[in-house]
Amino acid sequence: MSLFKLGFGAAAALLVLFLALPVVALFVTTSASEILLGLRAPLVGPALRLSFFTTTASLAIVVALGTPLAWLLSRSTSRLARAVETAVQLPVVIPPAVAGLALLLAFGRRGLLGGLGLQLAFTTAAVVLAEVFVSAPFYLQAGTAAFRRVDTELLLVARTLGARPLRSFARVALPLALPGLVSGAAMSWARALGEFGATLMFAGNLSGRTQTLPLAIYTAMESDLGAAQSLSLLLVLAAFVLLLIVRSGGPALFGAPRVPR
Amino acid sequence: MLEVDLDARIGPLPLRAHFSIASGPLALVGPNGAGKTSLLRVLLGVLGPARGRIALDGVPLLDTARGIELPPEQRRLGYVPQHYALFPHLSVLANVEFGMPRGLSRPARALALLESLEVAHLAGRRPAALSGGERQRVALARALAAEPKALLLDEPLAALDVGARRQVRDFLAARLRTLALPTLLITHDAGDACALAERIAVLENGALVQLGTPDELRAAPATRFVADFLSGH
Repeated sequence: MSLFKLGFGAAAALLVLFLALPVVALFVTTSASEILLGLRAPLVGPALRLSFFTTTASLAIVVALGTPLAWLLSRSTSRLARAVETAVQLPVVIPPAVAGLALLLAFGRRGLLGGLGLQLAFTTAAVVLAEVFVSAPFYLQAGTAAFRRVDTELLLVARTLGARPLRSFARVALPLALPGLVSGAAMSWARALGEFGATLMFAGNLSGRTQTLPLAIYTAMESDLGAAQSLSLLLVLAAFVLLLIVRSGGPALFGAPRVPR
Repeated sequence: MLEVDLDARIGPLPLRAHFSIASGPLALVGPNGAGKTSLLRVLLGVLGPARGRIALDGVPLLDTARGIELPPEQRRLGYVPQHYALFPHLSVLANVEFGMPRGLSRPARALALLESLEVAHLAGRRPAALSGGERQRVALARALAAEPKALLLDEPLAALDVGARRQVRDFLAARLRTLALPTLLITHDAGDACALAERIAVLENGALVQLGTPDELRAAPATRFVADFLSGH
């Protein structure tokens, strides 16, 4: 075996091992009965319900507002559109703690909008806002790319066939971009589900109101490691299923057409 | 009757053209960058020139003097783009139904239209499974389904390989004659222009330099390009 193969093989194996080991540890250091016991801890139920509710709400907001924005960004060639496209990706690279502080300064009691009597910090609404803030870029990026692949000529033909802009969007652009939109939504949902730092700073850690699954894991760590581990396994499984969906060109699972290009 | 009277500027390019098509095909030819595509986009309503008038059967599609500029969906122009641009996610039948008003008889009418173009057996297929010639017929059927008052064809034969070209051209030529709709077809090929159209309009540097039958153009070519274009055809 050449030195090249040996070196690259060793480096590759080392990284794969390192990435896999913590996940393996999550599974092998517990048992089925311990998991079931952990899931009965009192903070599990409320956190599960809250995470389900808030991530559903944030995904709905991201899709409802993000789809029009992604469409506009994909069709515009203006400098403003490019600037907006870059700006909306900022939450991906902003540290979560900074995002939490920024949200407080915008929507907190003494924040920019606080003077208007708008007090969202440390409420369930704050959880949703934090999730929207960190997860929207994932949907926007995938959505803009998917819409950009839609041939402009198809939309023009639809118009000449009597379709107004909204109908040509709904009948042509949307179905053709659907696979990309679905995987974008899946990535966005996963990011919202895992959101921790910004939520902790902006919404706090109140059981039943702002304590989502990741915050419940953090809280349980101090008293009940079993519960923390059970919740972690739950999140890993959800993430894994999602990853499979996205990687398998999963939109096919949703009945979206596969378009040969 | 399609009437075009433009004196405009599209970006850096001037666009001056004055012509009308009563019925049957007019071929629009010209060197690359002469403004053929710009003219097409102005007709379709994607580009809005500062000054000009376009009317179809007396109805103004564009009249800058009166502030009229209809959007593409109100122009009643049947458009067959260069690579046909069939909707890839829809069946052939659904492609044709797209421009038809909703109704119980819609599938039957779409099928009849496909039948008239001898492609009814492809109704259930996806566009990706069709040959170039089949795609062209479906694209024509789709355009006709919306009952247009004029047709615009952009390089209708350019997407075909040489073997299929002749047969598709003959079929298209016969079909366009039967339809008797005002038809503007853009081409860069003199043979196609002569086979498909009775008259040829020549666009150079954004201006219409000559319009006439192939014989008229051959007898008295207005420019060097016209003479070169038709030599040997």
